[in-house]
Amino acid sequence: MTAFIWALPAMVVLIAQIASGASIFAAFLAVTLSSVRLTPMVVALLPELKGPRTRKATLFLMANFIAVTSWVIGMERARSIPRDARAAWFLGVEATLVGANLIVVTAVYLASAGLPPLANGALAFLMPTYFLASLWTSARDSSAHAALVAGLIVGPLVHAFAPQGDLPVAGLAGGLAAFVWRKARAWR
Amino acid sequence: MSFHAIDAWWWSWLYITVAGVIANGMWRALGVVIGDRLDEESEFMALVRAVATGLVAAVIGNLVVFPVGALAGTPLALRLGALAAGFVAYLLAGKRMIAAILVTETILVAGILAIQL
Repeated sequence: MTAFIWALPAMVVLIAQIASGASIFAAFLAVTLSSVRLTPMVVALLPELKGPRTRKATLFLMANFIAVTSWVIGMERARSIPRDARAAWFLGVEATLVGANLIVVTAVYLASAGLPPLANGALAFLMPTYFLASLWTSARDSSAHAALVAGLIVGPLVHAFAPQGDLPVAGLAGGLAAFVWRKARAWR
Repeated sequence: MSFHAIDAWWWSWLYITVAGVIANGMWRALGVVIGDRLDEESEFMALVRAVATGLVAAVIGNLVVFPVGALAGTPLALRLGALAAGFVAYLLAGKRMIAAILVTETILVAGILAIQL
């Protein structure tokens, strides 16, 4: 699945839906809700990567492999690359990430049964650690930091009461709270 | 219509394609189509970005508070403490990822070992 759906949250949601015996329509809706975030991510990043002669097909190809990691790298470093070379540079970044991940996923899948629980746990905890730091790095202003903190707190709180609706609700609540906070600060 | 509802080789592929690839990919395509038509500095884009950030943050929070697998048996305070300490280290080190990973993982592994003793 790593080769086809390049988005960890979407894969986690899809697997959770499969495991809970959800219908194909319920799973579609759940993955849809978890993937809406990709639209603003793509909209925000692509103008930075586009050269004057970049084709539409190239843009669609790049968009399909944008994820938190490549998005953070793109937002951070694209500006230091000459505009003509950005599309090629970013496709190289994406190909490296996808290729390395396919190798790691296969190796971990084969080895995980034999690994001690401690090693499995340590590897699993790399994910939130890395996501938190990289999301903080990619933030452009303090309102993004506020959205991050709000989502971090609201997400598990909503999950405790409504495990099915936690992500969209937490995303909206966290995002809206941050937006209101930003507006309130601007008026002052 | 669940994943195991139809016992045929093509059903799991169809299920993953519809509920996974299409449900995920259509938002990427939409992002390309909207592309440069939206003003990146507009208030609406700021709102959309904030919601996107809140959503990803909620994923992080759930991973820490409601872990599955090997971490499910560890104390919540240990996981929260390890993540918080790693984040502080990341800030102190000038937003260096490696600081967060080293500090978080050291505390987590040391904590699990200490409990098992």
